[in-house]
Amino acid sequence: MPVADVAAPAAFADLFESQRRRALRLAYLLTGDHDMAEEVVAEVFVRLYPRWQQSKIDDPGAYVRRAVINYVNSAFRRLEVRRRHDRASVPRLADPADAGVADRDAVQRALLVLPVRQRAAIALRFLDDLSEAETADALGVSVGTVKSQVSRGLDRLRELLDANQEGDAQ
Amino acid sequence: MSDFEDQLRRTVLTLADDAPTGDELLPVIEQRLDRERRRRRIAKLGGGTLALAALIIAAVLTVAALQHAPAHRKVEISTPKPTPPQPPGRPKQLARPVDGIPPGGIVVARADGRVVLVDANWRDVRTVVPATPGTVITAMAVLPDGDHIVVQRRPSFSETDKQGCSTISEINLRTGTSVELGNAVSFAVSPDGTHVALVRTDDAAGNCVGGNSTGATPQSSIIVRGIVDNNSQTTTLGTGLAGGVAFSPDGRQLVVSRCTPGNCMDAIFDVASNGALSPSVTSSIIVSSEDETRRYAPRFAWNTQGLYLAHQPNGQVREIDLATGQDFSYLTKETGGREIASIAGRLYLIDPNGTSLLAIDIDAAKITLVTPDVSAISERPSAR
Repeated sequence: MPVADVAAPAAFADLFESQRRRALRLAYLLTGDHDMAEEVVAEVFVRLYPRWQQSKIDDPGAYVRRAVINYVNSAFRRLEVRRRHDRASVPRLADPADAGVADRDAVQRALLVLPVRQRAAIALRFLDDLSEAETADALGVSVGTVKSQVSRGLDRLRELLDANQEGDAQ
Repeated sequence: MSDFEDQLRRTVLTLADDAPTGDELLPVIEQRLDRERRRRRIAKLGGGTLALAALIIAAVLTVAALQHAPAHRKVEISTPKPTPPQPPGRPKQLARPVDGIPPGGIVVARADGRVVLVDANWRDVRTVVPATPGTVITAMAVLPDGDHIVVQRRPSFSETDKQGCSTISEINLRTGTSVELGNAVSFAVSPDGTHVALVRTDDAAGNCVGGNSTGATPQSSIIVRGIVDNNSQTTTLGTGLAGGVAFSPDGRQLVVSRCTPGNCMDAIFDVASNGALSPSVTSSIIVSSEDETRRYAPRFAWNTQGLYLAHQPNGQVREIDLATGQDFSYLTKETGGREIASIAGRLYLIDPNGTSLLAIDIDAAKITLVTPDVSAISERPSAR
Protein backbone atom coordinates (compact mmCIF):
# COMPACT_ATOMS: atom_id res chain seq x y z
CA MET A 1 0.00 0.00 0.00
CA PRO A 2 1.42 3.39 -0.96
CA VAL A 3 2.27 5.65 1.91
CA ALA A 4 0.35 8.90 2.11
CA ASP A 5 2.21 12.03 1.02
CA VAL A 6 1.32 13.91 4.16
CA ALA A 7 0.76 11.97 7.34
CA ALA A 8 -1.93 13.05 9.78
CA PRO A 9 -0.58 14.93 12.80
CA ALA A 10 0.86 12.83 15.59
CA ALA A 11 -1.97 13.91 17.86
CA PHE A 12 -4.48 12.39 15.43
CA ALA A 13 -2.45 9.19 15.35
CA ASP A 14 -2.57 9.17 19.16
CA LEU A 15 -6.32 9.68 19.06
CA PHE A 16 -6.66 6.81 16.62
CA GLU A 17 -4.50 4.57 18.77
CA SER A 18 -6.52 5.35 21.88
CA GLN A 19 -9.85 4.60 20.19
CA ARG A 20 -8.90 1.98 17.63
CA ARG A 21 -9.35 -1.19 19.62
CA ARG A 22 -12.66 -0.24 21.17
CA ALA A 23 -14.05 1.00 17.85
CA LEU A 24 -13.01 -2.17 16.03
CA ARG A 25 -14.51 -4.42 18.69
CA LEU A 26 -17.82 -2.58 18.45
CA ALA A 27 -17.76 -2.50 14.65
CA TYR A 28 -16.94 -6.21 14.55
CA LEU A 29 -19.84 -7.08 16.85
CA LEU A 30 -22.18 -4.98 14.72
CA THR A 31 -21.03 -6.27 11.34
CA GLY A 32 -19.73 -9.77 12.13
CA ASP A 33 -17.05 -9.30 9.52
CA HIS A 34 -13.37 -8.37 9.82
CA ASP A 35 -13.12 -6.43 6.54
CA MET A 36 -16.35 -4.55 7.12
CA ALA A 37 -15.32 -3.66 10.66
CA GLU A 38 -12.06 -2.17 9.38
CA GLU A 39 -13.87 -0.32 6.60
CA VAL A 40 -16.34 1.16 9.08
CA VAL A 41 -13.62 2.31 11.45
CA ALA A 42 -11.49 3.74 8.64
CA GLU A 43 -14.42 5.74 7.29
CA VAL A 44 -15.40 6.94 10.75
CA PHE A 45 -11.91 8.32 11.36
CA VAL A 46 -11.69 9.90 7.88
CA ARG A 47 -14.96 11.70 8.57
CA LEU A 48 -13.97 12.53 12.12
CA TYR A 49 -10.73 14.23 11.06
CA PRO A 50 -12.09 17.61 9.85
CA ARG A 51 -14.26 17.97 12.96
CA TRP A 52 -11.36 17.00 15.18
CA GLN A 53 -9.19 19.63 13.43
CA GLN A 54 -11.81 22.25 14.20
CA SER A 55 -11.90 21.14 17.84
CA LYS A 56 -15.55 20.26 17.50
CA ILE A 57 -15.26 16.95 19.34
CA ASP A 58 -15.42 17.13 23.13
CA ASP A 59 -15.51 13.43 23.85
CA PRO A 60 -13.76 11.42 21.12
CA GLY A 61 -14.73 8.08 22.67
CA ALA A 62 -18.43 8.91 22.62
CA TYR A 63 -18.15 10.45 19.15
CA VAL A 64 -16.44 7.41 17.68
CA ARG A 65 -18.91 5.04 19.36
CA ARG A 66 -21.85 6.96 18.01
CA ALA A 67 -20.31 7.36 14.56
CA VAL A 68 -19.63 3.61 14.28
CA ILE A 69 -23.24 2.81 15.19
CA ASN A 70 -24.66 5.45 12.84
CA TYR A 71 -22.42 4.39 9.99
CA VAL A 72 -23.39 0.75 10.35
CA ASN A 73 -27.03 1.68 10.83
CA SER A 74 -27.29 3.91 7.78
CA ALA A 75 -24.75 2.87 5.18
CA PHE A 76 -25.21 -0.83 5.83
CA ARG A 77 -28.99 -0.75 5.96
CA ARG A 78 -29.52 -2.31 2.58
CA LEU A 79 -27.05 -5.03 3.36
CA GLU A 80 -28.71 -5.66 6.69
CA VAL A 81 -32.13 -6.14 5.14
CA ARG A 82 -30.69 -8.75 2.86
CA ARG A 83 -28.84 -10.39 5.70
CA ARG A 84 -31.84 -10.53 7.93
CA HIS A 85 -33.68 -12.43 5.24
CA ASP A 86 -30.71 -14.71 4.74
CA ARG A 87 -30.51 -15.41 8.43
CA ALA A 88 -34.18 -15.81 9.23
CA SER A 89 -33.22 -18.91 11.18
CA VAL A 90 -29.93 -19.37 12.95
CA PRO A 91 -28.02 -22.16 11.25
CA ARG A 92 -26.75 -24.91 13.54
CA LEU A 93 -23.19 -26.04 13.65
CA ALA A 94 -22.82 -29.72 12.87
CA ASP A 95 -20.70 -31.63 15.39
CA PRO A 96 -18.80 -28.70 16.78
CA ALA A 97 -15.36 -29.78 17.78
CA ASP A 98 -15.08 -27.02 20.33
CA ALA A 99 -18.15 -26.14 22.37
CA GLY A 100 -16.77 -22.65 23.09
CA VAL A 101 -16.35 -21.89 19.43
CA ALA A 102 -19.82 -23.26 18.76
CA ASP A 103 -21.32 -20.98 21.43
CA ARG A 104 -19.48 -17.99 20.07
CA ASP A 105 -20.54 -18.76 16.54
CA ALA A 106 -24.17 -19.20 17.58
CA VAL A 107 -24.15 -15.93 19.53
CA GLN A 108 -22.57 -14.09 16.63
CA ARG A 109 -25.14 -15.41 14.19
CA ALA A 110 -27.95 -14.66 16.59
CA LEU A 111 -26.67 -11.11 17.13
CA LEU A 112 -26.66 -10.51 13.40
CA VAL A 113 -30.33 -11.41 13.22
CA LEU A 114 -31.21 -8.50 15.51
CA PRO A 115 -31.89 -5.01 14.12
CA VAL A 116 -28.77 -2.84 14.30
CA ARG A 117 -30.11 -0.67 17.13
CA GLN A 118 -30.91 -3.67 19.32
CA ARG A 119 -27.57 -5.21 18.49
CA ALA A 120 -25.83 -1.96 19.36
CA ALA A 121 -27.71 -1.60 22.64
CA ILE A 122 -26.65 -5.08 23.71
CA ALA A 123 -23.09 -4.64 22.46
CA LEU A 124 -22.68 -1.37 24.38
CA ARG A 125 -24.10 -2.87 27.53
CA PHE A 126 -21.89 -5.94 27.53
CA LEU A 127 -18.83 -4.63 25.74
CA ASP A 128 -18.33 -1.19 27.21
CA ASP A 129 -20.31 -1.57 30.41
CA LEU A 130 -22.18 1.59 29.59
CA SER A 131 -25.02 2.78 31.78
CA GLU A 132 -28.46 3.05 30.26
CA ALA A 133 -28.06 6.83 30.04
CA GLU A 134 -24.70 6.52 28.28
CA THR A 135 -26.12 3.91 25.92
CA ALA A 136 -29.07 6.19 25.20
CA ASP A 137 -26.66 9.01 24.38
CA ALA A 138 -24.61 6.79 22.08
CA LEU A 139 -27.71 5.62 20.25
CA GLY A 140 -29.36 9.03 20.20
CA VAL A 141 -32.52 7.69 21.83
CA SER A 142 -34.23 7.92 25.22
CA VAL A 143 -33.36 5.76 28.23
CA GLY A 144 -36.77 4.11 27.94
CA THR A 145 -36.02 3.11 24.38
CA VAL A 146 -32.69 1.64 25.46
CA LYS A 147 -34.44 -0.44 28.11
CA SER A 148 -36.94 -1.80 25.62
CA GLN A 149 -34.25 -2.38 22.96
CA VAL A 150 -32.10 -4.37 25.39
CA SER A 151 -35.06 -6.29 26.74
CA ARG A 152 -36.40 -7.20 23.31
CA GLY A 153 -32.92 -7.98 22.06
CA LEU A 154 -32.21 -10.34 24.96
CA ASP A 155 -35.58 -12.07 24.52
CA ARG A 156 -34.90 -12.58 20.85
CA LEU A 157 -31.37 -13.83 21.48
CA ARG A 158 -32.64 -16.29 24.08
CA GLU A 159 -35.24 -17.52 21.64
CA LEU A 160 -32.74 -17.92 18.83
CA LEU A 161 -30.11 -19.61 20.97
CA ASP A 162 -32.70 -21.98 22.51
CA ALA A 163 -33.85 -22.92 19.05
CA ASN A 164 -30.25 -23.53 18.08
CA GLN A 165 -29.67 -25.78 21.09
CA GLU A 166 -32.83 -27.75 20.39
CA GLY A 167 -31.62 -28.24 16.87
CA ASP A 168 -28.32 -29.54 18.19
CA ALA A 169 -30.08 -31.93 20.54
CA GLN A 170 -32.14 -33.53 17.78
CA MET B 1 -27.98 -10.13 35.93
CA SER B 2 -29.45 -13.54 35.04
CA ASP B 3 -27.36 -16.60 34.24
CA PHE B 4 -28.26 -16.21 30.62
CA GLU B 5 -27.11 -12.59 30.55
CA ASP B 6 -23.94 -13.46 32.41
CA GLN B 7 -23.11 -16.23 29.97
CA LEU B 8 -24.01 -14.02 27.05
CA ARG B 9 -21.77 -11.27 28.33
CA ARG B 10 -18.80 -13.61 28.58
CA THR B 11 -19.42 -14.90 25.07
CA VAL B 12 -19.80 -11.40 23.66
CA LEU B 13 -16.50 -10.36 25.23
CA THR B 14 -14.80 -13.44 23.80
CA LEU B 15 -16.36 -12.71 20.45
CA ALA B 16 -15.10 -9.13 20.51
CA ASP B 17 -11.60 -10.47 21.12
CA ASP B 18 -11.78 -11.85 17.57
CA ALA B 19 -12.12 -8.32 16.20
CA PRO B 20 -9.40 -7.23 13.78
CA THR B 21 -6.50 -5.41 15.38
CA GLY B 22 -6.43 -2.61 12.81
CA ASP B 23 -2.62 -2.49 12.91
CA GLU B 24 -2.53 -1.50 9.24
CA LEU B 25 -5.48 0.84 9.38
CA LEU B 26 -3.80 4.17 10.12
CA PRO B 27 -1.91 4.30 6.77
CA VAL B 28 -5.20 3.58 5.00
CA ILE B 29 -6.88 6.45 6.83
CA GLU B 30 -3.95 8.77 6.13
CA GLN B 31 -4.06 7.85 2.47
CA ARG B 32 -7.74 8.68 2.26
CA LEU B 33 -7.21 11.95 4.12
CA ASP B 34 -4.33 12.82 1.82
CA ARG B 35 -6.48 12.14 -1.23
CA GLU B 36 -9.12 14.48 0.14
CA ARG B 37 -6.52 17.21 0.88
CA ARG B 38 -5.16 17.02 -2.65
CA ARG B 39 -8.64 17.17 -4.11
CA ARG B 40 -9.41 20.32 -2.12
CA ARG B 41 -6.05 21.89 -2.96
CA ILE B 42 -6.57 21.33 -6.67
CA ALA B 43 -10.15 22.53 -6.48
CA LYS B 44 -8.91 25.75 -4.86
CA LEU B 45 -6.40 26.35 -7.64
CA GLY B 46 -9.19 25.86 -10.18
CA GLY B 47 -9.15 26.60 -13.89
CA GLY B 48 -7.88 25.01 -17.11
CA THR B 49 -5.47 22.14 -17.04
CA LEU B 50 -5.34 21.83 -13.28
CA ALA B 51 -9.09 21.50 -13.02
CA LEU B 52 -9.06 18.92 -15.81
CA ALA B 53 -6.25 17.02 -14.11
CA ALA B 54 -8.16 17.14 -10.84
CA LEU B 55 -11.21 15.72 -12.52
CA ILE B 56 -9.20 12.90 -14.07
CA ILE B 57 -7.51 12.11 -10.74
CA ALA B 58 -10.81 12.27 -8.92
CA ALA B 59 -12.44 10.01 -11.49
CA VAL B 60 -9.59 7.47 -11.32
CA LEU B 61 -9.52 7.52 -7.53
CA THR B 62 -13.28 7.24 -7.38
CA VAL B 63 -13.34 4.27 -9.71
CA ALA B 64 -10.56 2.67 -7.70
CA ALA B 65 -12.32 3.42 -4.44
CA LEU B 66 -15.59 2.02 -5.71
CA GLN B 67 -13.87 -1.08 -7.04
CA HIS B 68 -12.18 -1.75 -3.71
CA ALA B 69 -15.02 -0.71 -1.49
CA PRO B 70 -17.49 -3.21 -0.07
CA ALA B 71 -20.51 -3.97 -2.21
CA HIS B 72 -22.73 -1.50 -0.36
CA ARG B 73 -20.60 1.41 -1.57
CA LYS B 74 -21.05 0.56 -5.22
CA VAL B 75 -23.42 2.83 -7.05
CA GLU B 76 -24.90 2.11 -10.43
CA ILE B 77 -23.64 5.19 -12.19
CA SER B 78 -22.54 5.18 -15.78
CA THR B 79 -19.79 7.33 -17.21
CA PRO B 80 -21.24 10.75 -18.04
CA LYS B 81 -21.79 10.98 -21.74
CA PRO B 82 -22.06 14.16 -23.77
CA THR B 83 -25.39 14.41 -25.50
CA PRO B 84 -25.74 16.27 -28.79
CA PRO B 85 -26.87 19.84 -28.25
CA GLN B 86 -30.60 19.82 -27.68
CA PRO B 87 -32.47 22.39 -29.69
CA PRO B 88 -34.58 24.42 -27.32
CA GLY B 89 -38.31 24.08 -27.66
CA ARG B 90 -40.00 26.63 -29.90
CA PRO B 91 -40.43 29.86 -27.93
CA LYS B 92 -44.04 30.74 -27.47
CA GLN B 93 -45.58 33.98 -26.39
CA LEU B 94 -46.84 33.39 -22.90
CA ALA B 95 -47.82 36.73 -21.58
CA ARG B 96 -47.25 40.41 -21.81
CA PRO B 97 -43.72 41.42 -20.81
CA VAL B 98 -43.16 42.50 -17.23
CA ASP B 99 -40.27 43.83 -15.20
CA GLY B 100 -37.83 41.29 -13.82
CA ILE B 101 -37.46 40.25 -10.20
CA PRO B 102 -35.46 42.76 -8.12
CA PRO B 103 -32.36 41.54 -6.22
CA GLY B 104 -33.43 39.52 -3.19
CA GLY B 105 -37.03 39.45 -4.45
CA ILE B 106 -39.16 36.50 -3.40
CA VAL B 107 -41.77 34.99 -5.68
CA VAL B 108 -44.45 32.41 -4.87
CA ALA B 109 -46.72 30.36 -7.10
CA ARG B 110 -50.42 30.53 -6.33
CA ALA B 111 -52.99 27.77 -6.76
CA ASP B 112 -54.23 29.26 -10.03
CA GLY B 113 -50.77 29.00 -11.56
CA ARG B 114 -49.79 32.67 -11.17
CA VAL B 115 -46.32 33.61 -10.05
CA VAL B 116 -46.37 36.69 -7.86
CA LEU B 117 -43.70 38.85 -6.29
CA VAL B 118 -44.40 39.16 -2.56
CA ASP B 119 -43.29 41.60 0.10
CA ALA B 120 -41.78 40.84 3.52
CA ASN B 121 -45.27 40.12 4.88
CA TRP B 122 -46.03 37.65 2.09
CA ARG B 123 -48.52 40.03 0.49
CA ASP B 124 -48.73 40.12 -3.31
CA VAL B 125 -46.85 43.04 -4.87
CA ARG B 126 -47.39 42.21 -8.54
CA THR B 127 -47.96 39.26 -10.86
CA VAL B 128 -44.89 38.31 -12.89
CA VAL B 129 -46.38 35.25 -14.63
CA PRO B 130 -50.13 35.18 -15.26
CA ALA B 131 -52.40 32.26 -14.47
CA THR B 132 -52.43 29.27 -16.79
CA PRO B 133 -55.82 27.64 -16.27
CA GLY B 134 -55.73 23.94 -15.42
CA THR B 135 -52.09 23.90 -14.34
CA VAL B 136 -50.26 24.26 -11.08
CA ILE B 137 -46.59 25.17 -10.56
CA THR B 138 -44.87 22.62 -8.33
CA ALA B 139 -41.38 24.13 -8.29
CA MET B 140 -39.60 27.16 -9.67
CA ALA B 141 -36.29 29.01 -9.67
CA VAL B 142 -35.46 32.64 -10.42
CA LEU B 143 -32.21 33.01 -12.36
CA PRO B 144 -29.56 35.43 -11.03
CA ASP B 145 -30.35 38.02 -13.72
CA GLY B 146 -33.89 38.36 -12.36
CA ASP B 147 -35.29 38.36 -15.90
CA HIS B 148 -35.67 34.61 -16.31
CA ILE B 149 -37.57 32.09 -14.25
CA VAL B 150 -37.70 28.31 -14.62
CA VAL B 151 -40.98 26.66 -13.62
CA GLN B 152 -42.21 23.11 -13.31
CA ARG B 153 -45.91 22.69 -14.17
CA ARG B 154 -48.35 19.85 -14.09
CA PRO B 155 -52.09 19.63 -14.77
CA SER B 156 -53.90 20.71 -11.61
CA PHE B 157 -56.49 17.92 -11.91
CA SER B 158 -53.86 15.17 -11.96
CA GLU B 159 -53.90 14.08 -8.34
CA THR B 160 -51.91 10.94 -9.10
CA ASP B 161 -49.09 12.86 -10.72
CA LYS B 162 -48.00 15.07 -7.86
CA GLN B 163 -44.41 13.99 -8.03
CA GLY B 164 -44.45 12.50 -11.49
CA CYS B 165 -42.87 13.90 -14.60
CA SER B 166 -44.02 17.34 -15.57
CA THR B 167 -42.95 20.09 -17.89
CA ILE B 168 -39.97 22.32 -17.12
CA SER B 169 -40.00 25.67 -18.92
CA GLU B 170 -37.88 28.78 -18.90
CA ILE B 171 -39.83 32.03 -19.00
CA ASN B 172 -38.29 35.31 -20.10
CA LEU B 173 -40.20 37.86 -18.08
CA ARG B 174 -39.07 40.85 -20.16
CA THR B 175 -40.27 39.34 -23.46
CA GLY B 176 -43.09 37.23 -22.05
CA THR B 177 -41.90 34.17 -23.98
CA SER B 178 -41.58 30.63 -22.68
CA VAL B 179 -39.25 27.87 -23.88
CA GLU B 180 -39.76 24.24 -22.88
CA LEU B 181 -36.61 22.67 -21.42
CA GLY B 182 -37.99 19.12 -21.11
CA ASN B 183 -39.91 16.75 -18.88
CA ALA B 184 -38.54 15.80 -15.50
CA VAL B 185 -39.39 14.69 -11.98
CA SER B 186 -37.52 17.65 -10.54
CA PHE B 187 -34.96 20.25 -11.52
CA ALA B 188 -32.37 22.58 -10.06
CA VAL B 189 -30.63 25.63 -11.49
CA SER B 190 -26.93 26.16 -10.74
CA PRO B 191 -26.24 29.18 -8.49
CA ASP B 192 -24.62 31.08 -11.39
CA GLY B 193 -27.64 30.39 -13.58
CA THR B 194 -25.63 28.72 -16.35
CA HIS B 195 -26.90 25.14 -15.99
CA VAL B 196 -30.14 23.39 -15.22
CA ALA B 197 -30.18 19.83 -13.87
CA LEU B 198 -33.19 17.75 -14.88
CA VAL B 199 -33.84 14.48 -13.03
CA ARG B 200 -35.90 11.86 -14.84
CA THR B 201 -37.24 8.38 -14.31
CA ASP B 202 -38.00 6.59 -17.58
CA ASP B 203 -39.77 3.36 -18.40
CA ALA B 204 -38.34 0.80 -20.82
CA ALA B 205 -39.69 2.79 -23.75
CA GLY B 206 -37.90 5.94 -22.62
CA ASN B 207 -41.03 7.74 -21.43
CA CYS B 208 -40.57 9.97 -18.40
CA VAL B 209 -42.79 8.30 -15.79
CA GLY B 210 -41.75 9.97 -12.53
CA GLY B 211 -43.17 8.36 -9.42
CA ASN B 212 -45.98 6.60 -11.24
CA SER B 213 -44.10 3.78 -12.80
CA THR B 214 -45.71 0.39 -12.56
CA GLY B 215 -42.89 -1.19 -14.51
CA ALA B 216 -40.38 -3.39 -12.73
CA THR B 217 -37.20 -1.55 -13.60
CA PRO B 218 -37.62 2.16 -14.24
CA GLN B 219 -34.30 3.86 -14.94
CA SER B 220 -33.32 7.22 -13.52
CA SER B 221 -30.92 9.75 -14.94
CA ILE B 222 -29.73 13.35 -14.55
CA ILE B 223 -29.34 15.64 -17.51
CA VAL B 224 -27.24 18.73 -16.83
CA ARG B 225 -27.88 21.21 -19.58
CA GLY B 226 -26.34 24.56 -20.43
CA ILE B 227 -29.06 27.18 -20.33
CA VAL B 228 -27.39 29.30 -23.01
CA ASP B 229 -25.60 26.76 -25.24
CA ASN B 230 -28.02 23.85 -24.69
CA ASN B 231 -25.13 21.38 -24.48
CA SER B 232 -26.11 18.60 -22.14
CA GLN B 233 -24.48 15.78 -20.21
CA THR B 234 -26.51 12.74 -19.21
CA THR B 235 -25.56 10.59 -16.23
CA THR B 236 -27.43 7.35 -15.66
CA LEU B 237 -28.27 6.68 -12.01
CA GLY B 238 -29.56 3.14 -12.49
CA THR B 239 -32.83 1.54 -11.53
CA GLY B 240 -35.23 3.22 -9.14
CA LEU B 241 -37.36 6.31 -8.98
CA ALA B 242 -35.55 9.63 -8.93
CA GLY B 243 -36.52 12.43 -6.59
CA GLY B 244 -35.02 15.74 -5.60
CA VAL B 245 -31.92 17.44 -6.90
CA ALA B 246 -29.97 20.45 -5.63
CA PHE B 247 -26.71 22.24 -6.36
CA SER B 248 -24.31 23.14 -3.56
CA PRO B 249 -24.07 26.90 -2.84
CA ASP B 250 -20.78 27.10 -4.79
CA GLY B 251 -22.23 25.12 -7.70
CA ARG B 252 -19.42 22.58 -7.60
CA GLN B 253 -21.47 19.69 -6.28
CA LEU B 254 -24.91 18.30 -6.83
CA VAL B 255 -27.03 15.94 -4.73
CA VAL B 256 -29.75 13.71 -6.09
CA SER B 257 -32.03 11.13 -4.47
CA ARG B 258 -33.25 7.84 -5.87
CA CYS B 259 -35.51 5.19 -4.35
CA THR B 260 -35.77 1.49 -4.92
CA PRO B 261 -38.36 -0.50 -2.92
CA GLY B 262 -37.83 0.16 0.77
CA ASN B 263 -34.67 2.12 0.30
CA CYS B 264 -33.72 5.67 -0.71
CA MET B 265 -30.21 6.85 -1.50
CA ASP B 266 -28.68 10.26 -1.93
CA ALA B 267 -25.67 10.50 -4.21
CA ILE B 268 -23.37 13.52 -4.26
CA PHE B 269 -21.55 14.36 -7.48
CA ASP B 270 -18.80 16.77 -8.39
CA VAL B 271 -19.87 19.02 -11.26
CA ALA B 272 -17.41 19.93 -14.01
CA SER B 273 -17.58 23.28 -15.78
CA ASN B 274 -19.24 21.60 -18.79
CA GLY B 275 -21.89 20.03 -16.57
CA ALA B 276 -20.35 16.53 -16.53
CA LEU B 277 -20.83 14.71 -13.23
CA SER B 278 -18.47 12.42 -11.38
CA PRO B 279 -19.28 10.71 -8.08
CA SER B 280 -17.86 12.73 -5.22
CA VAL B 281 -14.81 11.13 -3.63
CA THR B 282 -15.88 11.97 -0.11
CA SER B 283 -19.58 11.28 -0.24
CA SER B 284 -20.40 9.00 -3.11
CA ILE B 285 -23.50 7.73 -1.43
CA ILE B 286 -25.55 8.39 1.65
CA VAL B 287 -28.49 6.21 2.54
CA SER B 288 -31.14 8.66 3.59
CA SER B 289 -34.33 6.95 4.50
CA GLU B 290 -36.72 4.22 3.64
CA ASP B 291 -39.69 4.68 1.42
CA GLU B 292 -41.95 1.65 1.26
CA THR B 293 -44.06 3.26 -1.43
CA ARG B 294 -41.13 4.20 -3.68
CA ARG B 295 -43.22 7.09 -4.88
CA TYR B 296 -41.72 10.01 -3.05
CA ALA B 297 -37.97 10.30 -3.03
CA PRO B 298 -36.54 13.01 -0.74
CA ARG B 299 -36.22 16.65 -1.79
CA PHE B 300 -33.29 18.89 -0.91
CA ALA B 301 -32.33 22.40 0.10
CA TRP B 302 -28.62 23.17 0.14
CA ASN B 303 -27.51 26.51 1.52
CA THR B 304 -24.39 27.81 3.20
CA GLN B 305 -25.64 26.49 6.54
CA GLY B 306 -25.86 22.91 5.31
CA LEU B 307 -27.60 20.27 3.25
CA TYR B 308 -31.16 19.53 4.31
CA LEU B 309 -33.53 16.85 3.21
CA ALA B 310 -37.32 16.62 3.41
CA HIS B 311 -38.91 13.23 3.16
CA GLN B 312 -42.62 13.14 2.66
CA PRO B 313 -43.73 9.60 3.60
CA ASN B 314 -42.01 9.50 6.98
CA GLY B 315 -42.44 13.22 7.62
CA GLN B 316 -38.80 13.86 8.43
CA VAL B 317 -36.61 16.85 7.84
CA ARG B 318 -32.98 15.86 8.17
CA GLU B 319 -29.64 17.55 8.03
CA ILE B 320 -26.79 15.77 6.32
CA ASP B 321 -23.42 16.39 7.95
CA LEU B 322 -21.17 16.76 4.91
CA ALA B 323 -18.06 16.24 7.02
CA THR B 324 -19.14 12.86 8.35
CA GLY B 325 -21.78 11.80 5.84
CA GLN B 326 -24.21 11.11 8.65
CA ASP B 327 -27.69 12.48 8.64
CA PHE B 328 -29.59 13.70 11.63
CA SER B 329 -33.32 13.85 11.94
CA TYR B 330 -34.20 16.95 13.87
CA LEU B 331 -37.80 17.45 12.90
CA THR B 332 -40.64 15.09 12.29
CA LYS B 333 -43.97 16.33 11.15
CA GLU B 334 -46.84 13.92 10.65
CA THR B 335 -47.34 14.89 7.08
CA GLY B 336 -43.85 15.91 6.04
CA GLY B 337 -43.26 18.27 3.15
CA ARG B 338 -43.38 17.93 -0.60
CA GLU B 339 -40.63 20.43 -1.32
CA ILE B 340 -38.01 22.09 0.84
CA ALA B 341 -36.46 25.46 -0.04
CA SER B 342 -33.90 27.83 1.39
CA ILE B 343 -35.14 31.40 1.10
CA ALA B 344 -33.14 34.30 2.52
CA GLY B 345 -31.15 31.81 4.58
CA ARG B 346 -34.23 30.26 6.18
CA LEU B 347 -35.78 26.90 5.43
CA TYR B 348 -39.32 26.48 4.17
CA LEU B 349 -41.50 23.52 3.29
CA ILE B 350 -44.37 23.24 0.87
CA ASP B 351 -46.95 21.02 2.56
CA PRO B 352 -47.71 17.60 1.04
CA ASN B 353 -50.84 18.87 -0.69
CA GLY B 354 -48.83 21.62 -2.30
CA THR B 355 -51.10 24.34 -0.99
CA SER B 356 -49.33 25.98 1.96
CA LEU B 357 -45.97 27.45 2.84
CA LEU B 358 -44.51 26.27 6.15
CA ALA B 359 -41.46 27.70 7.93
CA ILE B 360 -38.91 25.45 9.59
CA ASP B 361 -37.49 26.87 12.81
CA ILE B 362 -34.39 24.82 13.46
CA ASP B 363 -33.60 26.24 16.88
CA ALA B 364 -37.11 25.76 18.20
CA ALA B 365 -37.46 22.48 16.27
CA LYS B 366 -40.89 23.31 14.96
CA ILE B 367 -42.75 23.85 11.72
CA THR B 368 -45.32 26.62 11.45
CA LEU B 369 -47.74 27.76 8.79
CA VAL B 370 -46.54 30.95 7.06
CA THR B 371 -49.21 31.51 4.46
CA PRO B 372 -51.76 29.43 2.56
CA ASP B 373 -52.20 29.28 -1.21
CA VAL B 374 -48.56 28.69 -2.12
CA SER B 375 -47.50 25.76 -4.29
CA ALA B 376 -43.87 26.80 -4.91
CA ILE B 377 -41.40 29.46 -3.80
CA SER B 378 -38.11 30.93 -5.00
CA GLU B 379 -35.94 34.01 -4.54
CA ARG B 380 -33.63 35.80 -6.92
CA PRO B 381 -30.14 34.65 -5.97
CA SER B 382 -27.31 37.11 -5.76
CA ALA B 383 -25.12 37.19 -8.87
CA ARG B 384 -21.82 35.32 -8.49
